[in-house]
Amino acid sequence: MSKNVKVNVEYLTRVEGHGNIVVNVKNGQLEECRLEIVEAPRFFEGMLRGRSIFEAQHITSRICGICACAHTLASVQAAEDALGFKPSPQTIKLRKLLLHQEILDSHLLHIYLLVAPDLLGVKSFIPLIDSHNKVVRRALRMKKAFNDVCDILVGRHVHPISCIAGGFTKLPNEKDLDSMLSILKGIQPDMDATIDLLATLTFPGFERETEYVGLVNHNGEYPLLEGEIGSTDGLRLSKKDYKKVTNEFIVGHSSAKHAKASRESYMVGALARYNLNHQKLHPKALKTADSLKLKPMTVNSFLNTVAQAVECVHSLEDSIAILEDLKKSGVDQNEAVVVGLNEKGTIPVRAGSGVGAVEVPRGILFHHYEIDEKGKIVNANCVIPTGQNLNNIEHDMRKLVPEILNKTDEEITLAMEMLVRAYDPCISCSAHFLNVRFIGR
Amino acid sequence: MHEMHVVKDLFSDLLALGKEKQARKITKVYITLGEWTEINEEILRFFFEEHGKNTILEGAELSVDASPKKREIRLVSFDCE
Repeated sequence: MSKNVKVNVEYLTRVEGHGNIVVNVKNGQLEECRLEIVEAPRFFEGMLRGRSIFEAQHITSRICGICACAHTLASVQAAEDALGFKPSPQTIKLRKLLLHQEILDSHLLHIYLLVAPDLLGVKSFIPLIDSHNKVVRRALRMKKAFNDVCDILVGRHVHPISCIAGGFTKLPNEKDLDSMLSILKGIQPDMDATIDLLATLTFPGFERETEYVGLVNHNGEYPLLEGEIGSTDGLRLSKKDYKKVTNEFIVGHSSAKHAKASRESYMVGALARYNLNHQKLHPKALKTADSLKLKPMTVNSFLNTVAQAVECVHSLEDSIAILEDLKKSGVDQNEAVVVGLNEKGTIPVRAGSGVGAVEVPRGILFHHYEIDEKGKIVNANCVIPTGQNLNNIEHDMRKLVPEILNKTDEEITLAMEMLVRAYDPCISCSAHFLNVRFIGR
Repeated sequence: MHEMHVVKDLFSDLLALGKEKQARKITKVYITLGEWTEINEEILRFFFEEHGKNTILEGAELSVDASPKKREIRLVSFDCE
């Protein structure tokens, strides 16, 4: 016999959001807690197959509008590794300068537009226009400054043009160096004000030990573009062995893969880099870390934002140092560059395999290409920092939720959103629309 | 993809409730759908049919009514045997 059962449950439509948190509590005990990624896979690795290695960076820069320069840098590094090409010291210096702008632009976007509203007690960046107008103006001024430097250096920040395998298609002249230096020196007071603002904000207290993974090196430089893979659990591997670190696996509730290395999960990003390499930061950045009370081997993921602020000071100061150095030595405008798809054979082509490992704003990014003897890509793999962090976010959530179960649904929702946001995940542009679904509460 | 995940959540609840009610078969599911959810009804029906295979929801009819709340998807009730 047929019967009708009344249910009346509302479902989350996820129109704006691409991440959902599911919390299942039974009799006051946490049964399940997971971060669902419902963004459709985008198959960039598939799109690369059959394309020339010399256009890989233009394709992969489209993976992200915020980290376009980061993907470009990992891509050209992997391409050059596959081709057996060694970039010039001048090229490496200019790439470091570009990476610093990417880090500055992205970290500041996260600090001001995503984290500050939480800590200043408003729902989004927009209400700050009325309540903290000077802060909003400063944030936009700084973002514009770093975008402007990218414009000079590589044509544009989003989907850069002149940074390619082999070098730069257009090198900065003396006037360009002066312009970039003037912009960056002009923004120093705003950076100081940013640190002062951070010092007034209170971040949630939370602790969970995990493994921190990032680039490490044997020289005195804070490793962003070069080095081998290391971890706070003692891992040391060549970048070619990146799969031994990421060990990606599929979980049913996420369209992005999860990763783990020496233990159940690991974290990449500013806090991981700080924990691994803090002693190599610029002295002014170290002073900033002291003033913000950020200690080495911090295990509070919420403080990733503070580590980002410290990195901002480092990147700004190191950018200025690179530019002053380039002004002193002058830029060699006669470096041979690849035009088009290397039709002139500027770089000899061979079959091979190459890996790029670059510390980008959200953590270590891997690009891996295999090419045939004509330079066509036969296989590609891109491992994105947010994907590596997802597993760690879930483990953090499982530790955090039982500690705050006595709070209201709204308070738990905010705490979970803030935790996810602290990682600055690629879904963060929609993270204010993160849906938290409570079951059985 | 959004439709697929809505159907996944819907099925997870329907299968649990069906088990609770000791249903042999769920024959009809009633939902309401708001116009601002950006959920395509045709795609929703496709995933509903696909997900139902080899479950107590196989062959179930899906009744979709417009919701007065524009951003809402709601499982109202279901018929079972």
